Amino acid sequence: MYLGRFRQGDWVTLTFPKFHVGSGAHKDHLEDMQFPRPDVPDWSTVGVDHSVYSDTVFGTENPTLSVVDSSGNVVVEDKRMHLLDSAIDPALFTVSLFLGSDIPVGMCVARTEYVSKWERQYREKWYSLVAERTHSFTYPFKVVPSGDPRGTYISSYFYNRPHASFLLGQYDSDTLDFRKNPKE
Amino acid sequence: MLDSGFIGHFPVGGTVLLFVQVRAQNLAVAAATGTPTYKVFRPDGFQVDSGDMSNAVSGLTGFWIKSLELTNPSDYQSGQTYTVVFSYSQGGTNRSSVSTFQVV
Amino acid sequence: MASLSNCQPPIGSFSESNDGNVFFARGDQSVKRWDGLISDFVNAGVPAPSTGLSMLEEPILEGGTQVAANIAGTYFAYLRYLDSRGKVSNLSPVSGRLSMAGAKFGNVDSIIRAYGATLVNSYGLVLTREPYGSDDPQLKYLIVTSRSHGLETGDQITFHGFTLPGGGSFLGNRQYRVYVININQFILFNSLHPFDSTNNAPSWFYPYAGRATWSMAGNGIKYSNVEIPTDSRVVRRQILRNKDGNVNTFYVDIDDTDLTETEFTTVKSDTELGEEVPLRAVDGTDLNIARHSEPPNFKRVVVDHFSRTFAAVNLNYKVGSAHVEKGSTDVIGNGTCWTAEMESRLFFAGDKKSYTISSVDTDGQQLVLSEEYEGSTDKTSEYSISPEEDEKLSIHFSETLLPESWNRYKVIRLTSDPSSGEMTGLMPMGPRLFILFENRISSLNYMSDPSLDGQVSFATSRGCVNQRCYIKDGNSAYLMDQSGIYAFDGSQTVSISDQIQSIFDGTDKYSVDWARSEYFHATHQPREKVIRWFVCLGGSGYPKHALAFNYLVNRWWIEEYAEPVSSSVVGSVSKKRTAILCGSAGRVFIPISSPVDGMATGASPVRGSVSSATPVTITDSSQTFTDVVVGAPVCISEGTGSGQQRVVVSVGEHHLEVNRPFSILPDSTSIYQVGGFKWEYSTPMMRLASQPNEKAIRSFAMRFEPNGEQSTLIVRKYTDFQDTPDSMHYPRSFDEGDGVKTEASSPDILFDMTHSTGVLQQNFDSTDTPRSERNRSLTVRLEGVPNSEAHRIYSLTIEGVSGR
Repeated sequence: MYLGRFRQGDWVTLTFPKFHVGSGAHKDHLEDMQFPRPDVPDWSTVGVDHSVYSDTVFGTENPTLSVVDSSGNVVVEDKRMHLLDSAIDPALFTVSLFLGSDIPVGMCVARTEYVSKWERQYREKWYSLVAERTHSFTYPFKVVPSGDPRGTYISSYFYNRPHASFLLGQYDSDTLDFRKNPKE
Repeated sequence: MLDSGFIGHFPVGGTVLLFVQVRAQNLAVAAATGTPTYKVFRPDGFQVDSGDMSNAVSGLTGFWIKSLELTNPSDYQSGQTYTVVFSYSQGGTNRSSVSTFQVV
Repeated sequence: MASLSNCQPPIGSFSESNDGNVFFARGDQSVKRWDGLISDFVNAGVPAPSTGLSMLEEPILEGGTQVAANIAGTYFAYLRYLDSRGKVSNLSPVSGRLSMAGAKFGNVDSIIRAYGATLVNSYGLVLTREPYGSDDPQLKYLIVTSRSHGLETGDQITFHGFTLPGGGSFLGNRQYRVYVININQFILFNSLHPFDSTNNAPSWFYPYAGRATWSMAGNGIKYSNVEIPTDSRVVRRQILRNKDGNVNTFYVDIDDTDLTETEFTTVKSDTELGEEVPLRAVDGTDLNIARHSEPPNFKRVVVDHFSRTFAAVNLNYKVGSAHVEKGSTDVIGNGTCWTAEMESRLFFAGDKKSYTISSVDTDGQQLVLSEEYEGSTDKTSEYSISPEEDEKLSIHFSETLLPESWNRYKVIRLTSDPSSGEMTGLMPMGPRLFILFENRISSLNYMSDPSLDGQVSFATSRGCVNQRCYIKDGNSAYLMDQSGIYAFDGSQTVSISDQIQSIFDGTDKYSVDWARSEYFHATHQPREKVIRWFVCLGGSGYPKHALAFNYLVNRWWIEEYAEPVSSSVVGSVSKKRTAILCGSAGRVFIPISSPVDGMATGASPVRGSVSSATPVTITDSSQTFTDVVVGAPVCISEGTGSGQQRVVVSVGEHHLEVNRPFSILPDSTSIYQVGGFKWEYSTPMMRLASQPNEKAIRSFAMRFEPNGEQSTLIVRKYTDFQDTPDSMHYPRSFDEGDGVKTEASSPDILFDMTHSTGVLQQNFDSTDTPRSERNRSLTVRLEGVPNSEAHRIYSLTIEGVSGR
């Protein structure tokens, strides 16, 4: 899914749905993928042997994000995503990525990764099967020129000293800086 | 949604970062058998480019990239949307996925 | 910098103190300080030692010889740190008590010999070898009588006043070791060894006692467990000690700049101690114990008011989510930026209780709680990290003229008022300090010490959105809350935003997005007499709109910016006092310094016709673009796609690349303007005046300042409540229309701003038939993008309507 055009110094936010990985005998096949649901097991399917299938819809860990630049370098590695809002249905994981100086101008691809695991209950006795599957989505985006890896000012102050005046700034890249003797 | 979809606007003479995520039948990520390939088609269906994906990105299972240079102005014209079809073999099965990009 | 910033930081506030330093607070880290000279911001204040030191009485040796000391009395000690400027920290915990006897003196009353093992043994002296013979030196001892000598076995004394220097066979004026027999008598030994076979008594011979005296040097003090500072601000340590009999004033005993040792010794008597450090004033005021604490790191607003710095507004940190496990003390953060300063704060999650944070692993983004989590396991729990409960409505303040010294026990605590909303800021105005809430303002008045004589009283039931949304002008201020914008003189409020109230009510198509209110800010442009509140209207992350108010003529308008304006200040630039607008990509702008937007002063705007366009580029084959236009806005001012505004991100020789694709692709009819301000104006809806069966004369006329360079503006006519403007029927060139151009089926009426008359008019006469449906009302909207000169419109006249 194309994210769009950004500049260095921008924040890019993307979301990734929390999937309920199918149900019953079809749980292995994502083509039967249902719309994502909040974190509840699916007790709806009962097999002929009265076993009940359910999924750990959550996965083993929160999804992670990596970013690859146009040279194939992994410039962001395994950044953890977090839940956007537990009240939202379907649940969405989200991550905000700051485009600093190590994300070059040009095209990049963000790739999310999510491991799903499911367990099977048989006559109320839990035992875990080893089926773990890694799922992924890709999000290309473009970094266009004219940005600044310092980011956006979020607070500022004009500071006069006997020897100079300064424009102090706090940026959303979590930096403080000062610029001396601003002129038109 | 699992296909790469639209991947952006690129000028004639620019470079497109093609990428493909190899997947198994259940759409989980997987390693390809051999090297995935790509083909680029004009809107009229004429194939203008093809080749192998360059490299698998280390640490990202089944994720391949290729930098495609839009050097030939007769192949890539401003305003046109091009389709890329990726093909790979996984688990004994041949699969494909699709991307598009627009030349500006 | 790296892209590993996990999350956007809390917005901080700056404050300048009377000592010329500027301070920055944001609630999740130590308050920072800068003086304009050092290379970077540093943590403000001086951290204090956390552990007390130990004291021990000990003989202090130099070159194997005890150094004479006369320290007698009861003593305590403190440790404190100093920074490179000489600023001091709070004192460490106090040491234990040490009582010392000091040097001793006595007279030699008499000396006798003692001989024989039996006699010697009767004194309890142990001979460690068998007597060798009757003349064995071990068996010969000198016993000195000195009434109430006060010595102890092992003490070393020095004799004075003998006629002989001593040594060899003779007792004399030198040092001996004593073995105490009783309170009045002691035996002498030469050796300094412990009592063993190598000891021997002085010779059998002794001089006349006469006026001989003895003295014993006092012990010194050994300080141990002296804490080594780990903070780079600390460049010096001082050990303070009192004088016997006074525990309110301490003095510098050790002054250390090496910072590596954990033990020190001293032989300084009370009269030799250094700088005086009183702990309390006569009235009990703390002078040095706890008044030099660092500024509170959990407050995000700092202001200066009458020689003190005040800090308020807690940071309640909620970014990202927390992975909590039932029965575990470990918490993992996702999308969080937890800092070391969050240690000791309270952690709230899904459980019904809060937990104290014992430690923070900032690299791994993990917390350790003080006790096991009792709630349910949740990998993605919402959470909050807050200061202690009793800090919720607290205001801290510094010592007078000491902006880096904060007495941790001096705090103002307000009474809770649920209807006031959250505390949002502080506003010093005149003699009072106003405490801002979302829905209230309280006033703090004090004479000298706010914690003693401060009084908090209700001021008004209006509030302020955040610390940056007020502008002061002398003894009054303009503030914005969720109800609108108002003037406040300290007691009365007057609403001034009635003209644009629908924006605040949410009934306008432009409505303030209060979810982004922490990013709102205000600035004053003195030359214009305009105050601007920068807000988010509908969906943007940072403010891209300004609610502009000219207080001279009491007029409001809305400005939209091509790029976010996320912060603002007022400063002096080129000797002119002006607002300074700060935005994305580190860009800084001065409003109305030039008719050109987003380009360096003196740069020329660029206007031309589009030769061709792609979704992200414009090509003008007659134009050569340079980098000076990068970052500037580009508007399509006429033709296909007019009204679209983008930002130039790069240039080729004849083309511009823009940040976002055009939604309507420009073509050869399109005129673009780089660096132009796009403006819009709409008349109110006016009723069409008409007489049935008569031709209604209607027209729109504009009087303006002619421009020297090519420039146009667009006029559109809307009838009744239509969203789309009326289209023109006939094409007409500028020449044919005397400076007004129309196209058939196009709603755009172009006015040529270079027309030398400075007056342009467009007619729209009509005839109304009785008892038939007809148009009832009219609105005229103007839209323009100036070139290098501003569009100055002196009047608009609409004929054939009623209403203003």
